Amino acid sequence: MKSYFTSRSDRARVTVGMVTHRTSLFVMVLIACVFLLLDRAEATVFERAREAATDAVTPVLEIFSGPVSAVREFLAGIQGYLAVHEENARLREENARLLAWQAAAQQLQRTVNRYNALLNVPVDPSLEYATGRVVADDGGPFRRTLIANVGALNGVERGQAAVDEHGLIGRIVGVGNEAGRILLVTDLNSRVPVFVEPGRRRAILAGDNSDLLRLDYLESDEGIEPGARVVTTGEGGLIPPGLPVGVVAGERGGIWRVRSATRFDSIDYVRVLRFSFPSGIEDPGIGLPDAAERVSPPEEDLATQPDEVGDATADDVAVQPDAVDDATAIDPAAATEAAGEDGQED
Amino acid sequence: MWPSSRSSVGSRIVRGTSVVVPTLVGLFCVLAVIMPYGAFGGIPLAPVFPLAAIFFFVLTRPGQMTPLSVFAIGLFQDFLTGSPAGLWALVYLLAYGVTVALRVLFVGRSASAAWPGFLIVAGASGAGIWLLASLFYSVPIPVVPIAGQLMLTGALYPIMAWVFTLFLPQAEG
Repeated sequence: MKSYFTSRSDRARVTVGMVTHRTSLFVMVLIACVFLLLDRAEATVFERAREAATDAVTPVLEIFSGPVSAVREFLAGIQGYLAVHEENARLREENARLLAWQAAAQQLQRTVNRYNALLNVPVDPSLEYATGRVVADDGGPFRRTLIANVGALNGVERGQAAVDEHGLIGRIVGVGNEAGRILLVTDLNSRVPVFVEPGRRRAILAGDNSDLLRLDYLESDEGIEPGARVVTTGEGGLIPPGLPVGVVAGERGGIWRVRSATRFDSIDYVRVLRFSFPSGIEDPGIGLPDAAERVSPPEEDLATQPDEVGDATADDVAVQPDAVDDATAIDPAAATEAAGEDGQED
Repeated sequence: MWPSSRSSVGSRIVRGTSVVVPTLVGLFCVLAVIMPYGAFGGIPLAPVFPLAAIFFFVLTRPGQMTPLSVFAIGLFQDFLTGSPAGLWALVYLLAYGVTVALRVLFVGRSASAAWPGFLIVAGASGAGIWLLASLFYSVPIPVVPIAGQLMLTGALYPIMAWVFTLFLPQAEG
């Protein structure tokens, strides 16, 4: 191969240049250190610059990420074709299992509707969402972030949850006009309050850059077994409650791990949930009764209750699919049985 | 007279443009590294293209790949990847320093002979990334993704160097 350095004079010129470069190098290293310290002290200092840079390159990334994703999908397709028989058998088995769940879910939905009507549960706040394509990832070895082409113009705000077809994948940590950065739940800095079912044990779901998530501050691991569902609690008001995150994979060294159904290295499309926590509490006009009234309620009130319940139909109470999904976190046979018993009672 | 002066202006423009070519290539490499290639076993499948570009141009065009250029490339990557501001910049400046120190070994050698040098620079950069990121986040970050990504980068260096050669002036490419 050809040499790039052709003469002694070239070497001398380069040496002089290097002296200047060393001074410049020292100054640049100092500036980089100052930037790092500033970012460590106050993470929002460079937020605007990050958003502006992301916004500026998003159109370019949209152009180039398309073919890259296509190639990746093609390779994944070849891989999938090789495993088509195993996949087919797995899907058949899963289909049979899901059909059993479907029947249980329909029963449970009717039951939940009735309970909601009985308890006068307010309708869940509507979940709007913005769908976007992943145009970039961090490409680095110590962050787990994605950039999607949805931003402030789509109503996306910092802190909102990002989901794929399997459930929660992360939350928005930076928003430009046309792009948003998603911090994946697997990232070292991710913390999400969750419940572990059954038993609704509270915990904090933490990422550590590996594919398995960690359950920190687990309330109690009594009754928790591999396969138990993990869902969001909704605490904090930005991530809706009940979003599935994954299932418990097992415990090692006293730390419970959670496996997400999402393949974080091949996410193409995401939905950002524009969830608004219900902040205003309306007075329905029915004040709490006095203590005396609570002890001995008027007979006519009791008499009218069945009619009120009877008036409330399934159409009156909008139940989110997630609510049904949560309710089925038990054995389908048991669920169907419970729903059946409930129906008999009515 | 007129044609010669015109050619002089043209050559100046070409020379002026060529000064920023290594920096532009480095910045484009940042865009290339954040494409959604995915990962395999937790190891990002994107080689650290900017590192290879910095090494290559420091060897071949030291006057055009300055510390300021390296800093700009690193900071651009920090902003686009959401990394701590200055982290990649510092790592690339470290790589720049190591490359300059090693440069004397490669003067007069071919580009392929620089491959072992790049492996040393990649190793130093990996150690730098791990140390800086662990200090920044106050927790030891996993080593495998860093090692895997830099090994991939090291393995692909000859191909990347060949591509970068296309950006050198024809007489020297």
